[in-house]
Amino acid sequence: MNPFQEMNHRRTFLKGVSLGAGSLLFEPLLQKVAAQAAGRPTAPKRVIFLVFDNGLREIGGTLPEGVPLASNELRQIPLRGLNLPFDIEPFAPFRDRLTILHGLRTNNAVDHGGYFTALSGIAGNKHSALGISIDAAIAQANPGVFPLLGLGVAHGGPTTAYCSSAWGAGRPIAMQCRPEMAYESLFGSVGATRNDFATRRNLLDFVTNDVRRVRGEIAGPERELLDAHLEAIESLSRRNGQLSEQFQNGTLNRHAPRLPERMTSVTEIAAAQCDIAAAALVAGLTNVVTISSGLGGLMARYSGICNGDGHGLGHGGVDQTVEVNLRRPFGPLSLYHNYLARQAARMLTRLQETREGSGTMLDNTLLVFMSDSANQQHSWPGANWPFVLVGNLGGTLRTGQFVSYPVSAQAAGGDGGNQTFGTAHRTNPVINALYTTLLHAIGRPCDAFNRPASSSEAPRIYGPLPELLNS
Amino acid sequence: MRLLKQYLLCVALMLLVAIVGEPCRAGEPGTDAKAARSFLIAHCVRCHGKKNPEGNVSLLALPADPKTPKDIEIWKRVYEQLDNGQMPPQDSKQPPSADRQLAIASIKSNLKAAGVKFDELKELAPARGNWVDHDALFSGKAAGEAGTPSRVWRLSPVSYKQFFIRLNGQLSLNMDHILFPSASQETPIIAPWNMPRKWDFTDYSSLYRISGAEYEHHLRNCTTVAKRIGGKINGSPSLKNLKVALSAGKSAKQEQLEAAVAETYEVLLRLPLDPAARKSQAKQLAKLFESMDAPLAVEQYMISVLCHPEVLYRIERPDGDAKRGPMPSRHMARAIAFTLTDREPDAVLWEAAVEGRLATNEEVRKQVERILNDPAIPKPRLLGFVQEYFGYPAAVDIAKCTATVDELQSEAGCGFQMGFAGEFVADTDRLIEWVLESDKDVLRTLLTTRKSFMRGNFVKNYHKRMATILERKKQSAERAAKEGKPFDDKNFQQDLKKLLDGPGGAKDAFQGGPYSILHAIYGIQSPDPKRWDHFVSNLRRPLLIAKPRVPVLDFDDWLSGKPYDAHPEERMGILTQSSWLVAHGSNFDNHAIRRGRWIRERLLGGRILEVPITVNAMLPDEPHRGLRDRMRVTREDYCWKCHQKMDPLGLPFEQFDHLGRYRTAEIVVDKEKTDKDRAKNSQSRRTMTSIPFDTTGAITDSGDPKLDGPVKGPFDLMERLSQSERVEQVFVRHVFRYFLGRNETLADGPTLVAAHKAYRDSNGSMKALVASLLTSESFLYRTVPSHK
Repeated sequence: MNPFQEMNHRRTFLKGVSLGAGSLLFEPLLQKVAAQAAGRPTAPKRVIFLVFDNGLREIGGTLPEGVPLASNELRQIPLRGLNLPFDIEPFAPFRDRLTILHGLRTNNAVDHGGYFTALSGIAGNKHSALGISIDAAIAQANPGVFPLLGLGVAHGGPTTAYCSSAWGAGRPIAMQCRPEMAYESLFGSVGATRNDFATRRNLLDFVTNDVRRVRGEIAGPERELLDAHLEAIESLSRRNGQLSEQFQNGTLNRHAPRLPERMTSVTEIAAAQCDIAAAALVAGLTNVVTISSGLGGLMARYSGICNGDGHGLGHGGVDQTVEVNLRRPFGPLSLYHNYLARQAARMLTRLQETREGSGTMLDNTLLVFMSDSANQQHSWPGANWPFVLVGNLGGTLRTGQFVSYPVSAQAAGGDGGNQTFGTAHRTNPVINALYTTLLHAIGRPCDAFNRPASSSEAPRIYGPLPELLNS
Repeated sequence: MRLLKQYLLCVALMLLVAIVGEPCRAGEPGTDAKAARSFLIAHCVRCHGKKNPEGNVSLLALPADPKTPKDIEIWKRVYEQLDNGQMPPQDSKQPPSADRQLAIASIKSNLKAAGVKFDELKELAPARGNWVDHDALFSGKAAGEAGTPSRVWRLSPVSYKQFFIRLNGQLSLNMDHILFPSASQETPIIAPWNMPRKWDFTDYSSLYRISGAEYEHHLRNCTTVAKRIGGKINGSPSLKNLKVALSAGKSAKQEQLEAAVAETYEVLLRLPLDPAARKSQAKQLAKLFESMDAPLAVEQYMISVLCHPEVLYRIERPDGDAKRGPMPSRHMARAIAFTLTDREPDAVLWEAAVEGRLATNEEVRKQVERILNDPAIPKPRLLGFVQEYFGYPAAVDIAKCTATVDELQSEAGCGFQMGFAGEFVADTDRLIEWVLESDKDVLRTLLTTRKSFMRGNFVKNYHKRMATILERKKQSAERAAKEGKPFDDKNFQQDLKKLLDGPGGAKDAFQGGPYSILHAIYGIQSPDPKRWDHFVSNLRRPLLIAKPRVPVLDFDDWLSGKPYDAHPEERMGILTQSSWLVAHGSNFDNHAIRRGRWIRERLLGGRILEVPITVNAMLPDEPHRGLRDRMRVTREDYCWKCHQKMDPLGLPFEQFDHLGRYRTAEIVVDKEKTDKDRAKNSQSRRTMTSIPFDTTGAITDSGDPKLDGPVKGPFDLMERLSQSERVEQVFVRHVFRYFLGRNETLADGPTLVAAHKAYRDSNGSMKALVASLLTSESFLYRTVPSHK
């Protein structure tokens, strides 16, 4: 049974949040109190998901140099002494906290973006949230002022997008795609001296009256739409109350990042969103961040990297504007992955520089660096889905290793000539197993994350990955 | 497939379990439980009894009032199977609809008693539209009083923004640069949500909640606008009372405050405030004056007004305290305007509402027909309906790989998704506009017309640009005459020449560059007589496609905006347009299943279940075989149960390839040659060859015995469907859903019958059909359910 089937009901969650001392919020608090009583240091477990489009290839992308892609055996190889490939080279300083994971899979093909499938492990209509996503599940277990900070990166895209994360079926979570708006939500207007959060809270409390009155005039199931509306306002009001206090005591001002003047290209937006995410984590405003680059589908252009269209580059298109050694199929994508990895590494460094208990914030943080479409734009059923994990979540995760479940190499023809990609063996775990593992690591163990009730696959296919967990 | 078998086994198991449950216990919802049991015993026992039950599984201990998770799960599945009509099997005697509904209600009630939560909104979703019995709807018998339950309906992004556009004009807010941004550095005012394309209709009243992030976005918009209004109060006569209150600040008297809030509501929201609301709003304004500077207080107050639900929703309930009746006239005006124009009511409609001239059906009809018949009023919702009904705009979402396109011997390449698919959609849009303009026999024409457009959108814009140039010329000539100067039209002649002959001009669009590829996809011969020979000689492979057969289009006819005649053996109606074929295809292939599903649901009113998420719905990876051959897996017993409803309707469209071209042979991989080549060089490209294909199919179980039977191909299929009264009725049901934003119920039967009659009596006029719906009680009346 999936324990989150009970948890993922939106209203249950929101009520928990709105009550402040409701069960969902109260439980982590109790755990914290119990841990303190037991003399154990407590710190929230933080997880950052950095998800991007067009696949994360194995060769040149995630496979350490000298390690073959294919093997019929489970492999656990120490990373010490191995060179990281270009795409993830910026994580080299964190080698001891790094895990490169190969051989996970899904049962379905992913074309032009995995959308909600990537973080939920649920196949089906990729444009609709069919169940809770792992970032939301972790956020429910570990809520902050912003339970889940969703940030989007797109070239000329929308202001907000629903693309990867959800509290449950039909309950998608918005990604804020404009850094300045995300900044304002978290830290207030740049340079503000007035406590806008307090003013906003009073305003929100007042406008609920109109909504309540209309709600009283509506009957039937559609009244639930106004319930959601009220919950949205109440949630915002509560958040503004908390932010108001942090504004008053100077916390927000102390941690607010300095945004650049210009944030129009994809690289500028990605950098700004990473800065905002790091600042929000350090300020204690959230424990879970998802940054979706490409918004679950395909990036129109990787502006700041090159001029080629995202679809063509995902097919191995070559761009002549990048440096010579990257004028090859998938070269611009590698460059973009490297850029994202550098931004992620900056985030991690900021956390590493921030003391927490007897260590640093990084000790209790995990970065999940992944594509929403496995290893390529058109990944076939069972395609190897590579993950790069940085961090050990308070020592619960075993790190410094390359872990690969059995993988076959397969040539795939296409615009960029024949390229070799991995296919996970049919008996390998699915990506849900990693998500189950993460829930174990944050102290919310469950048997399986989003395992279909009618699945006939062996429990271990969805269960926690022993190779990743410290006993 | 193994998973599918297990799924079906499980279903069989569930039904067996369901029928041998324990007798009703004290405390159960008595009659409900009995209804479920009676139904199951009457309709399921024969196959799922104790001896040799279907699925070879016998479970006797399932209680009628489930308590354990396992029992609850089983009952949930029984509920699903009955609710979606999968059980009893189609070849069994079917229970009366009412009995089925009683049983479903009974099981639902028991499950609710066991703590199972149902997503009531999901049951209102467009996918459930065809759940209502078609014959009962058109039986002519009324089942209850028509009316839409009182509701809120989140505004469309266009409607949302129109509110701010109205304020911008009304209060001279100078916000054009943020309402219609081009390169503005300021944060633009855009709707907090968008409408993702879906298989079903996108905009139902029950579909969308407003999330925290969206509300926050709205607050940002409101803040921007409130600041602008704040800067205009002193010079705005329509806000004179607010100005008085602003000047008085903390010292404002009660009557000044009340006048200010009433005026703000009237100006911003066009809503009158009742005395109690005036007092409450005035109290809030006074409180704000107490706690902050007066200008900031007024700004905050205006933000609160702009956060009123009227700015975000259509709010629809009966007038006064009635349990059923027409909406208040202002809400009715909004409903009419949003339904037809996706905008707030125009001045004439609003005036009629304010003056109480929407009190009778005739008065409403007058306004509806005025809007429908006035060509100057944009009515994007008419085209919007046809777009969502046929679903062809999704063509732009289907990316084609260069390699695949090349293998089909098209020159479209990677530009397929980026450019050509958009052209397909625009050309179908133009065709639909042309059909709607004539407004005769609309559905039949949409299904069978031989007319098509080629770059029709370009031509439309050409005429707009031409009109702009001519208007400028006229104004310049008048100015010159007024000043007594000679008028030199040299510049205008240059503009006209550029429009016709310049780069990107009409001649370029007709024959130049990549658009010659569009000709080839549509089956039109290129204006360049050497192009085909050039293409064949450059191919350096055996030619596998047919030469276009439609003669070169006449340039003048084309530029005048007339449609061209497609080859009669090649195209017939929207379902043979490239846009529809691509939208209902896949990235790499045709998709006979999706095409068949569209016909089953949209033309025959049938129901298709979603693929269970545990089923890996994949055709064999055999690129050397034709699609029909690879679809043999769907003909296996456990798949055919659903696929028989779709595949025979979709396979006739094998007449076309997945780029939307008419074809004479199916192009597949030449396995022998490819294997041989790759043995020498693993990176060699696949060699393609052609094989014959089969376009036969069948209409089955349509609900109209005259319609059922085999079909020879897509044109035979379309011709027969277009003549069916049942298909017409199903079309009317879809029009109802789109314009009323909800599924029909049996109480709406008379509305649908009347709408269908209006359509027939008017020789298939879409306007008459829509007018009939918008003057029906289903549209105008709101009801308050008794369980309020």
